[in-house]
Amino acid sequence: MKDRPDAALMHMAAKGVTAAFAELVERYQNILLNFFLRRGVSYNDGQDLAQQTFLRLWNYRKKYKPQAKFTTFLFLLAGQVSVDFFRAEGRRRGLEEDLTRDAEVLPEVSRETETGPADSAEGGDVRSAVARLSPGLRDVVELGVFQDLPYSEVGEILGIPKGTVKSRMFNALKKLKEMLA
Amino acid sequence: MNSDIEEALNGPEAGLRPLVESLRAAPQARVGDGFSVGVMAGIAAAEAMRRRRFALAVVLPLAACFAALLAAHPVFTGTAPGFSMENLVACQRTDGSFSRSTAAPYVQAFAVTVLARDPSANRTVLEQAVDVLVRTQNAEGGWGADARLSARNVAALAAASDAGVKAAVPAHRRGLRYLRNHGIGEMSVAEMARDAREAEPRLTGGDSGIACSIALAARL
Repeated sequence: MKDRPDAALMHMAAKGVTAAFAELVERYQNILLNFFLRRGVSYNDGQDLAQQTFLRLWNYRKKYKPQAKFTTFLFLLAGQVSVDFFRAEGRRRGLEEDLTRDAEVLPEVSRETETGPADSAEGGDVRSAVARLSPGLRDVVELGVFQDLPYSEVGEILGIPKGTVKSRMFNALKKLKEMLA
Repeated sequence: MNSDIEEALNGPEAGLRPLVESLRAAPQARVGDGFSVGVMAGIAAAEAMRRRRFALAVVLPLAACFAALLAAHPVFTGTAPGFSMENLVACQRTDGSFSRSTAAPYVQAFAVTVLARDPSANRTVLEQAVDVLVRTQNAEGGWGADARLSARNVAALAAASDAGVKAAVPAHRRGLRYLRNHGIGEMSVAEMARDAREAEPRLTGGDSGIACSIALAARL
């Protein structure tokens, strides 16, 4: 299993070989966790979202076409999971604010800010800076820098032209340079 | 590093190279112990749920329909075949026939033969069954263009004649004449007679299994 390419493992998973899928989980679990952490979610939420992405990947495994790049498919699903999470989070926060206003009390909102076992200040600073970018810039950095995907694939995942990926990339890097200076 | 970004960092954006390298070198968080085991357990649970849903939505209703069909079958309702002469008799319709299916002519011949060979059979049932053969016999003495059917009907009427059913006697005689005059196709009278004789052991002798077969055929 270890030597097989991602597409071959997905093909096997589509036929119900769970060992092949387990290998994909091993390969991409930390990548997905960091993908979500750089969006500003807590460590526990990041793990939950990574898990949801894998569950969604399993459910959609038969829709995967081997001619498509696996990472394109995976990050499309991860992006959808992220959008769903922040939409639900927005609703939850809106509800909390409404309840707070109604009660005219300001309770301490305890959001989990726990860090992972292998976390560090440096890693946290980078994630925090990336998370503060606008979604359009952040996604380009995430896929182009951290996942090292070619611009064409980044454009395919985000639904934008390659030229836009390029211009956003360097706007984002300049902003990050200022933030981390 | 992919060629797109590398190309730019080698050119006018070279000043951003240290930043990109530091971003990539920044320590990465790692999932907790047992993460992949948890994912696979979640998948196993989802699959089990899917199978349960499939069973509830498809398999169980199909099984219920099948069970209902089986329960409604005469074998299980006890309204017809129970491997007995009583059940054969119960299958008889008011016009004396036993079936409305395309196999009805054969069912009638078999039923008459079985009833005639069983001394304990209800006399009225036998006579009404014979009446059907007599009514359907054509002017020449045969039954349609099927020589085997005519041969079997003649054999059935012979058995009924032997059992003392008076109406069967002239019909049997006409049937024999028909078989003598019509060697239909390649089949000679002798062959037809042999065919009827070969069929007979399977149809007579008070075999309750045969009675059941007839009753089942009559019900179909």
